Amino acid sequence: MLKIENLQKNYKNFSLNCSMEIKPGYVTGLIGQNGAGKSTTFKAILGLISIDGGMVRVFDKDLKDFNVEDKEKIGIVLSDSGFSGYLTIKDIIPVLSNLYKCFDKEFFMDQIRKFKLPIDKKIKDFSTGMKVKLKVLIAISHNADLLILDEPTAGLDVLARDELLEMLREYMEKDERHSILISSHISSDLETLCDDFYMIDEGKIILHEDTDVLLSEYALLKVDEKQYASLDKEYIIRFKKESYGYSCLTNQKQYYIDNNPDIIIEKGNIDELITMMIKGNK
Amino acid sequence: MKGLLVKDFKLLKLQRNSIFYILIIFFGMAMLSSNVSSSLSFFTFVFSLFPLNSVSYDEFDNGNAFLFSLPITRTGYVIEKYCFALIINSISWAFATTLVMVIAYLKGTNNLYDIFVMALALIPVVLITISVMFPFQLKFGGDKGRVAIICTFGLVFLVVIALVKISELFHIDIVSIFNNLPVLNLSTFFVLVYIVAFVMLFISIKISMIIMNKKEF
Repeated sequence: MLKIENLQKNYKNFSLNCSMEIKPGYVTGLIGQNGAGKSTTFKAILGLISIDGGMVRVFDKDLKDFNVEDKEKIGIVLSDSGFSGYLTIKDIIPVLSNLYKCFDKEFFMDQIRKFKLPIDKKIKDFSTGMKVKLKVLIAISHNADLLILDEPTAGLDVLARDELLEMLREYMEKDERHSILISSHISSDLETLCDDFYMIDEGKIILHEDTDVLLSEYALLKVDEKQYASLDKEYIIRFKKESYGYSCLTNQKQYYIDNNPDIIIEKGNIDELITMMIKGNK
Repeated sequence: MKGLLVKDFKLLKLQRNSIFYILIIFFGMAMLSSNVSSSLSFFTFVFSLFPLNSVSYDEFDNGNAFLFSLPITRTGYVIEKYCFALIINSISWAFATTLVMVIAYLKGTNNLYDIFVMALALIPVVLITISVMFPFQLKFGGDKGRVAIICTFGLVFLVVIALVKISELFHIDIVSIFNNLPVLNLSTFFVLVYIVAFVMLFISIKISMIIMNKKEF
């Protein structure tokens, strides 16, 4: 569906160099801190910036050969950009009808009514949640095969976030080939949605793993100085000095459960894993 | 492209108050002035600047990033902007010319033929205005674009002054050179000005395409 190989983009104080793949039918999360390179990766995929090296292929087609018809098959949500805030939903309906051959006006209007979005109010006067819902509705209303969503959950309260995730689940259920690439700096937002995760830091992919594996096989070991000294470190990916001793990240939880029954092993959520991957020592 | 045009017309609708005041001034000028042609020039020229605002609306709040993720190309965007400008200016020109001719006929002040010639002369002026302004607007954006245009005109002015001064040093009389140019009849002059305006428009579109293809959002 989407393949990025050695994508390079160099700025004065930042360099991006990453590879990743989004398979058909997958929801892939791109997670990392603010400034890690998520938005730059998205901009490169969307052709908004020139690239200094590497390759981006969408629907088995090089980005350079992308035409208007190809772009119609992608739904976009950008965290810091959208239709002019001076327009209303009523204004953008004819715009979308003319931009997308497959724009499903009936579905769009049903969803607008469902989420109680005002059609005559200027978008700039919408709440954060309403703006995001509208952006996602636009992205899923023209039968896109691939959604590219940059930080759609940013600034949302729990209810709005759950509604958004539900919209995305419904989109995925519509067609088994539908795929989503979604980014967030808070991965727990995406834990229940994504099939796999890429973790990006300082412009580089530092981890790629299926969500199931992350949640079942990764764990945090909490050990004191003495336990740490005697610990088999073969499957320790990262470690960090703590007040009580050390916390260690492993991708072989069962190995330590079997061999070190006396140490504390916490399942840990994805946010904690990210913190360890970025802040911990190798 | 049709989708973008619809968007720009929707955004133009937001400027209805300004359009209304311009219409009032235009109507007042046409009714009160003994020479209705000046109101025609005012209206056509002021209206030629409206399509440029659509570029400012697009870039407001980083809107271009989303816009260029939609199924449009950068080349298509440039073509749409010029088409939008030509549509708006054609409508405003036709409206203003008709209204001014009706008012002049009712008042019996101006020769209708003279007004029509004046209206025809305004078309290349508008085309040249669009041709100069759009690349600046696309390259530098709304506010910076205006500063860049003023700086460029200032620079052109300085160059002309410098050329006059240099020619004076070499005892070349520029005024007499202009006076001795072969006199063209009105239709030949019009054809030449129209050709220049359309060539400028074509070059302007090409420059705008280069500008947009290099832009990053």
